[in-house]
Amino acid sequence: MSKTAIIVDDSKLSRMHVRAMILRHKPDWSVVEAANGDELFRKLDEAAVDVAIIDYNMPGDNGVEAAAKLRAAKPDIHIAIITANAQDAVVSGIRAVGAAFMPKPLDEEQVGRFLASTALPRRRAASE
Amino acid sequence: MTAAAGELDGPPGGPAGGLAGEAWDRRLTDLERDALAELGNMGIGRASTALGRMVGELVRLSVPSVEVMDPDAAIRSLGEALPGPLIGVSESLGGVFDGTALFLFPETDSLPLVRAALPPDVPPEEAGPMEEEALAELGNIVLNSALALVANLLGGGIDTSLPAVRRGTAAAILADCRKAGFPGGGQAGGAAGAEADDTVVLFRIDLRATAQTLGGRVVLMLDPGSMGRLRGTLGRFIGRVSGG
Repeated sequence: MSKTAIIVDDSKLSRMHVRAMILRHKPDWSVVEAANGDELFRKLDEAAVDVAIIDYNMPGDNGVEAAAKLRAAKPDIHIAIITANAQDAVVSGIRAVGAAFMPKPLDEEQVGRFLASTALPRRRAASE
Repeated sequence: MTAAAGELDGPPGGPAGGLAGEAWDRRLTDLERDALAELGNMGIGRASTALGRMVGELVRLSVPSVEVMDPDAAIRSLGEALPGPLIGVSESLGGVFDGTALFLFPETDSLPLVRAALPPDVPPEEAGPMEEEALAELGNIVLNSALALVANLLGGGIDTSLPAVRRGTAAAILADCRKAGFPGGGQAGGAAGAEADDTVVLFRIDLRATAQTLGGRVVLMLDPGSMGRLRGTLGRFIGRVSGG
């Protein structure tokens, strides 16, 4: 089933990479982009989004804060947070909002597995 | 740990790195310094792997090296190793220690690096218009890869700011970073007071592609006042790894 994914990252380079990876794995999906958390919520009003791939280190809300708000607004959305900042506290924060953690630089196979997992209903994190 | 206390720099009180020995020894013991170098080695290993994956063809060239020194010695050393105009991507740090992390490399390597980091379907002429923002992302990934590993090994958090891209000589970029790190002009005595007290850790990272060699440095500048906190954290780390 065709889905819509949103990429939220202040880096255009990163958005280009993520968009290309999504479309290589899911050529029939639609991809929208946002440069920060505020823009994410503006774009949500314009398109029905099923999957969000969110950078951690952004101006304004960080990726976990943006994901928590997104989760509250759309409990069933699939979220992955991408960052090179794999500190234990960051990764446990990512898990606590029920998001997948994918380290930057992104591994294409891992992105493929995450995208494939969105065909199933989302598994809840223990903390939810 | 690769060396026990006392084995690194000759007799206690002797010259250590680029700093007059006595002032240095008051701040960091040989064992603490060795622990910091070891952490830096592991962090830089992670950072060079990340950079290599982003730009595809680059591979790690050398075993990374670590030096701990005062700011003046760091500026001299960086100026000799990397003469000419440089790019510096910096992030301010807080948490386990306050300071600045900086990824520094020759400006002539910038566009080749950005071109190599573009997705395969993007024409190389896109590199020019995207240079600043791509450098920020490359630097962010390099610095965060290293810092996250170090934070996890130390068992403490390191907060990182958004990356800033700077251009100039090593001396100019370090001065910019230190100004940014000390809003309001620094501690008592102004910039001169701050300069007398802060510490620079240089991590060397060399990468080679088929067509070019990128000789870069990752620089960690610790703010005055941070050293006590870092020593405490290093002490606990040493205690854990030595089973003490």
